[in-house]
Amino acid sequence: MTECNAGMTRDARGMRLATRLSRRRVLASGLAAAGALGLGSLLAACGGEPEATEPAGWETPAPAQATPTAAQATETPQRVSGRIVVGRTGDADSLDPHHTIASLSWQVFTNIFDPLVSWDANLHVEGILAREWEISDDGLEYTFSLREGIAFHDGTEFNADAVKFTFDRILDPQTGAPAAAWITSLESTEVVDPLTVRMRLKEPFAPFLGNLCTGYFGIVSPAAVEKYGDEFGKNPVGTGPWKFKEWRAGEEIVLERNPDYRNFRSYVENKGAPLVSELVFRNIPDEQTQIAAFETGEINVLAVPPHAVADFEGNPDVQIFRVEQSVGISFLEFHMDPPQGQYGAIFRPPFDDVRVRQAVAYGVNADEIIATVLEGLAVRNYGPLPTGVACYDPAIEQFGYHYDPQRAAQLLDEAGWTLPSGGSVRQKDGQPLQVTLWTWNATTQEKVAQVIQNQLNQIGFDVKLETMEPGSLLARLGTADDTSHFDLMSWGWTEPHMLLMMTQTTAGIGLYRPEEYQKLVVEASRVVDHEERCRLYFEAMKIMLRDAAMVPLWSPVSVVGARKEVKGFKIGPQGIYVYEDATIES
Amino acid sequence: MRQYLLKRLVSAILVIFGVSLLVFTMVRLVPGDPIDIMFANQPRPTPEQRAALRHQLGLDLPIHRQYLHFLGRALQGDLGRSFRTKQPVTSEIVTRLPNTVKLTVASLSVAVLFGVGAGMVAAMFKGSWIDAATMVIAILGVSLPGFWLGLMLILLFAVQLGWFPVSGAATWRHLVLPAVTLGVLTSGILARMTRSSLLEELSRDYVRTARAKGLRESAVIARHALRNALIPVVTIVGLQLGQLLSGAFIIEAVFAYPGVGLLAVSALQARDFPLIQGIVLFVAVIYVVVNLVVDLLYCLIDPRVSYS
Repeated sequence: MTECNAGMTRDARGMRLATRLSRRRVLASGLAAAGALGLGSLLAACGGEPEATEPAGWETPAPAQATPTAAQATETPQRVSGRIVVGRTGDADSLDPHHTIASLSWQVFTNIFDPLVSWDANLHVEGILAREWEISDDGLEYTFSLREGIAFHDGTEFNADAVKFTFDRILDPQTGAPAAAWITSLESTEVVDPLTVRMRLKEPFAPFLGNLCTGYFGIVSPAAVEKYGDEFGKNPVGTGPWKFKEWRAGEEIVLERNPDYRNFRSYVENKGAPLVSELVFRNIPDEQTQIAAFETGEINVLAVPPHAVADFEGNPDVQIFRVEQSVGISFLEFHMDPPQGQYGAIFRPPFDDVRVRQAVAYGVNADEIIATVLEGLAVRNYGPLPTGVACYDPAIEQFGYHYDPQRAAQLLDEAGWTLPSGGSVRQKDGQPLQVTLWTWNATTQEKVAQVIQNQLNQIGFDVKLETMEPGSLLARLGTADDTSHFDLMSWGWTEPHMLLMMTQTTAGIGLYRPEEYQKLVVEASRVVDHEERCRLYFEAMKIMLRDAAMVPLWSPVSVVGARKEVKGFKIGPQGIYVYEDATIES
Repeated sequence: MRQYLLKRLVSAILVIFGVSLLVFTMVRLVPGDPIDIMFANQPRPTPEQRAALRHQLGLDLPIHRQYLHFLGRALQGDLGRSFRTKQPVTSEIVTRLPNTVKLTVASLSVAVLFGVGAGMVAAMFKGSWIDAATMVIAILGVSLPGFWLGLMLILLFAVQLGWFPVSGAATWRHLVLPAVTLGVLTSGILARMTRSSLLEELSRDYVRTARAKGLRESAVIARHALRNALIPVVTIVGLQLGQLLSGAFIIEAVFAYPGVGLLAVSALQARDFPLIQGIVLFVAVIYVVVNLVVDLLYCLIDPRVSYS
């Protein structure tokens, strides 16, 4: 591993997306590479810790230094040249942020469109196109003051009308914007003056601002949308650091630098236009070919496939970034039935006894799995919030379960599941402790499940393993049947609101709705104060862990490689790839 | 001739019809609700959205009516829209087709050059070490896994020597490695066919006559024997042409060459059913048409062949 910049870096964004959307998303996309799921990113390998700053409220306006002047923006000390070529496994479907949710699209359009607000290095919200904002005391009105003098790539002016146009477009059912589901609480957007917009919510919804940080709420050029109509997804026009240049279907997408760009992201040092001429996203589906192309320099940035990480370590031509700020979480969840009424938590036997669930939690050695099967590409996580999501607090560890097979055995004994003399499977009233572990049929996933099976069998479970197609797994999880099963699952999201969302689906933890827990997470979704929100989430997580309603295991770590000629490339909040500080040295 | 043509056309249509039925059922047998799969990357649709979408896609109809719908639209060239890109399947295929045609022409040229050449050399030096060596290489060509050969060529000519790029299709240099890979794989079978066919011709009376006239051996082969020897080779070339035109799935994926084959691979990865359906149907049509054309071409190459 060679030197790398101890800052934050931007482009595991694409991958972070892979885990962002609900379990279905993760299942369908991620299967191949559990390790590639979810990746936010700090550079642990480089000793890059997020800078410790004072806790800032979400509404904290961007610091003054993040507001470059036009004069600063034009000072470009380095010579602008070269191309950054990012290798990836597939092509985008559309570059219209309001028409797609595919991570391969997001990875590209997020460079073309800037949002109003975005995450800073410490996962607090900072202003991008919004200079500052105010939230009314009742949490119903968000008033954004916009930056002045910003133009879309087509030369038209960015202003309050464009913001209103964008949000009206997202909410218009005709648009079919997938991201509309994240801002259903938005009632209307009104233009107060050319540089002020006010958004009115139907009900207080604290995740609103955090949700706006995703690239799906990028502000589009109304003139370009008008001009291109349905073809806007092939001719995207935003205000971002990179302008769309060319898309050769199935081959590559070429963006060119926006020479007028002013960068307001606090973690980007270069406050002006990008320092590289072109940013290219090259489609190379085969991993071996990706690696060969990376070696020849044909591509110079690559999400390194987990099995190839070791090959690149010690290679002087390659800088390796470990992305530890992840938005994904892997866990075990138990078979549940829907509660009678609004609240409740009904686990199927034998998991209806909390001691049996706790025994599973104590009986699984997650550290061993991370070290062996996952080859170190995961971070042990004791709670349900991913490491790269706001309000994540490592202090949750003290309420989590540490591997302790003796304690597990003791709990099972107390629950009446005892070992018959000479037997290896526990029994209760003549019934063996037989359970089935479900997961989807990806190689890594299956290996992990096998180790868990083995570990639990050692404390007296009789675990059968069943792996299936993701489609079948989803279908079977959603329908009640009589087997006593638990499953190995992943979830991903970028906002702590996931603690409510993940208990609102049709299976497993999605049916965990005890009143105590639900009231806390609902309250947290209405409180605007960031610290208070985090406190409520922490309390909620304590309850979930006390109940052993799920067994959190780890957040995945991804690895990104950049060739040595790409100087200044880095990984940003939640694993996004940051190209704006990068230069190409020939 | 006309009757033969008619017979072939009818059977071609039956084959395509069969394929369409097969693909249609196959896609519907895959576990999981297509709506779920469509929304695999997206927030869960509401029940109303689901119902609307089901109706829009015709999934609420009984299966035989769904098939008739599909067939009716396919006949008009409408293969539906890709789940992923929302673009018409036909246009997705047509955009990639030029790349695949280029690759096909290039790799077939390589195959004919290598294959026929090697076959001729082997036949001329029958029994010698040259013959043995050529045939060993030909067998290797037939039996090497394409992705492996592709990767080896990448490692040698792109990574080590740096002569050609690894992936893409921007310039003619991008075409070389995939075309050579495909060409070599195809040339093995052509070499073996050319050799045996040429040897057979060389043992015929007209060749003895030609030699007796005092013609040089090269003239005997080039002007007399080869023309006749190539007839079975043309059949093989035709078959290979069909295969290549339908997109060399694995090779295109290895070289990230944006043709129909790569489109198919990404469609499979994304479970983009309309696209998969469309490509399989397209491939079947290409196959059937190319074979038909090759059969008809026989009479041009060899007037002895008649279609009665």
